[in-house]
Amino acid sequence: MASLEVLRPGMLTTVQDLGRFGQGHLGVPQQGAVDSYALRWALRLAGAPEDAPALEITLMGPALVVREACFAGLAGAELGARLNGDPWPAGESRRLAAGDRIAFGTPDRRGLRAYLAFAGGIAVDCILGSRSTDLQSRVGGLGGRALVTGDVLEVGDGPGIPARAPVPTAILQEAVRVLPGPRDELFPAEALRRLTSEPYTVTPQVDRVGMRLFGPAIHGAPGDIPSEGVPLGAVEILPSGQPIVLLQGRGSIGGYPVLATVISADVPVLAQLRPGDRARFAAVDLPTAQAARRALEENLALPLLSLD
Amino acid sequence: MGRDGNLESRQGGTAFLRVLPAGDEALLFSFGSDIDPAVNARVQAFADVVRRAGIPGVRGVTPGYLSVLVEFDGRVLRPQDLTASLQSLPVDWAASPAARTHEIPVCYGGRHGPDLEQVARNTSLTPDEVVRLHAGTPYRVYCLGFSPGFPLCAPLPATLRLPRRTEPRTAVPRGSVAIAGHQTGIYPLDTAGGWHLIGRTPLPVFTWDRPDAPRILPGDTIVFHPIGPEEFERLREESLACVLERGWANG
Repeated sequence: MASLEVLRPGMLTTVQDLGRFGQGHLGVPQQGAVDSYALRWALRLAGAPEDAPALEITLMGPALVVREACFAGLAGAELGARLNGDPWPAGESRRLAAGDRIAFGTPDRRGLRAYLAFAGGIAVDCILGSRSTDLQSRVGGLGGRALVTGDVLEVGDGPGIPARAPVPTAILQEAVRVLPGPRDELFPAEALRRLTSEPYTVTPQVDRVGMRLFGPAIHGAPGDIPSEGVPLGAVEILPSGQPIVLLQGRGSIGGYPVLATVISADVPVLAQLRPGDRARFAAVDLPTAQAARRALEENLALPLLSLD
Repeated sequence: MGRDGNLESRQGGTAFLRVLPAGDEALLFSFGSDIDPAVNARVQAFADVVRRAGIPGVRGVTPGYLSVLVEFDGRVLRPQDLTASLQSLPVDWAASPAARTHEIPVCYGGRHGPDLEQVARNTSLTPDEVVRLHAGTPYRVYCLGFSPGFPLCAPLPATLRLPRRTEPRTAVPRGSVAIAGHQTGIYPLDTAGGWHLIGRTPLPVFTWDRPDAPRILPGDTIVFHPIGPEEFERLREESLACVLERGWANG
C-alpha cells in the first residue's frame, strides 16, 4: 500500500467521499464532498471508483511528501498546487514517485475547494456506508478530524496515464439557480422575488455545514417550524431575514423554513464561492434543473485528454 | 404532478398528504401542520415503508415531526416517477413500526445537570418539582436529529417550557438530558448545544459501528427515571465494560 505523509495540513483538509446516505432516520448527517462535481473529476482523473474517498482541500492547501509511488488526480479550484515545484493545474493527473513533494501555495482569486484523489482511494474505515469525515460528530475519515502535521495517508495505487479533463473541473460563477420550496407557501408572496432580486454577498460564515449570505432581507418568515428533513442546497431564512444555504455537512433535520432549494447542478457553484463573493439567485422550473444536471453528467462522461 | 395528492391506503381510510418539491433530488411528503402523535405515527409508518421498499435511486428517508424527506439520485429517478411509485406502496397506517419503550436512568442536577437550578428559578418551581415533572411523563420520540441519534421528544409539560439558552455551549457532554421549548432530548455525543442541561444518563444512546445495536428510533417512547450519583457511576462503569467487551466505537 502506498502512502503520503502530511508535512503541513493546510487550513481545512478532510477525507470525503460522495456522502453518508441513507442514515437520516438515525439523525446522521449526509456529509461528503461539498463540490461533488470536482470530487468526481478528481476520482476519474485518478482512475478511482466513484465511491472512493479523496482529500477535500479548502483554500490554503496542505504540503505532502510521497513515501511510495502512487497515481493521483487533482480537480476543483486552482489553489496553487505544485509537484516538486512545478505547477500542477487542477484537472490533471500525475504519477507520483517516492520522495515527491506536493505543496499548495497561493490560491487563484476565485474558487474555494480542490480535491486530490488517488487511484486506489484512501484507506480509512467505512462508517455507516461512508468514509466521509463528520467534523461535528468527530467520526469518519482520519479520526473524525481534519488532517494534522505528521498524519500518514495510506492510499491505493493503480495503473494510470497522466491526463487532463477536457473541461474546467470547478464551476466559477455567481449565478445560482433555485427551485421554490419546499416551504415557500409559509412566506409572503414577495419573498421569492426578493431572494432573486439582487445579488447576495457571501459572509465570512462559510463552512461545510452551510454559508450565510447578506443582502436583501426577507421578512415575514414564520420563525421556527417543527423540525423536518432538510434537503441539500436548502435556502433557509434566519430570524434576521438573511438567508443561509445548507451544504453537505448540514444536520439531517432543521427548524427554519426552507424558502427555496438550490438545484443539484448548482451546488458545485456554491461550493466554490468564498467570503466576499457574490451569489445571484434565479428561480427556475424542474425541467430546467434536470437539463442542467444532464449537462453536468455529460461533461463528466467526456473522454480525458492524454498528457503524454 | 400537483402539490396535493390523495394517497389511498390499502388498509382503508384516505391519508391526505401533500407532496412538496425540495429541489430536483428530494421531495417532502407532508402529513399535517400540527404536532400530534397520530400525525407523527403516519409519518413513521410511511418513512418505514419507503425505507424498506428499496426503490433504486432512493438515497435517504428522513422523518421529521410532520413530514418525510425522501432524497434520491436525480440520475436514476425523476420526482414524478418517485411519487407514482410511492403512491402504489401499501402502507399500513395503523401499524406502528415496532415501537419500543426505553427507560432512561438520569442523574438530575449537580455537575450532571448544571442548568437545573436555573430552570427551577425561571419556571418558579423547586428543582425537585422540575425533576418530578420531567421524569413523570412518557415522551414520544418524534424524530432523530441535530446530531446522530439525538431523540427529539415531546411534549414537555407546559410549566417546563423555556426558550433555548441565549449562549449555546460549545461542549455538552454526551448523555446530557436537556430541555428547550416543547421538547426534551438526550445529547448522544460530545457536541455543541443550546438546550438547558438538567441531568445526564450514564448509558450510551448511540453507537456508530453496529447496525443491529439497540437504538432509540422515531416512534419509540422514552421514560426518564431519576437515579443518584452513586447509581450513575455504577451504571457508567457497567456500560463502559459492556462497550469495551463488544468493541463499540461510540462516537
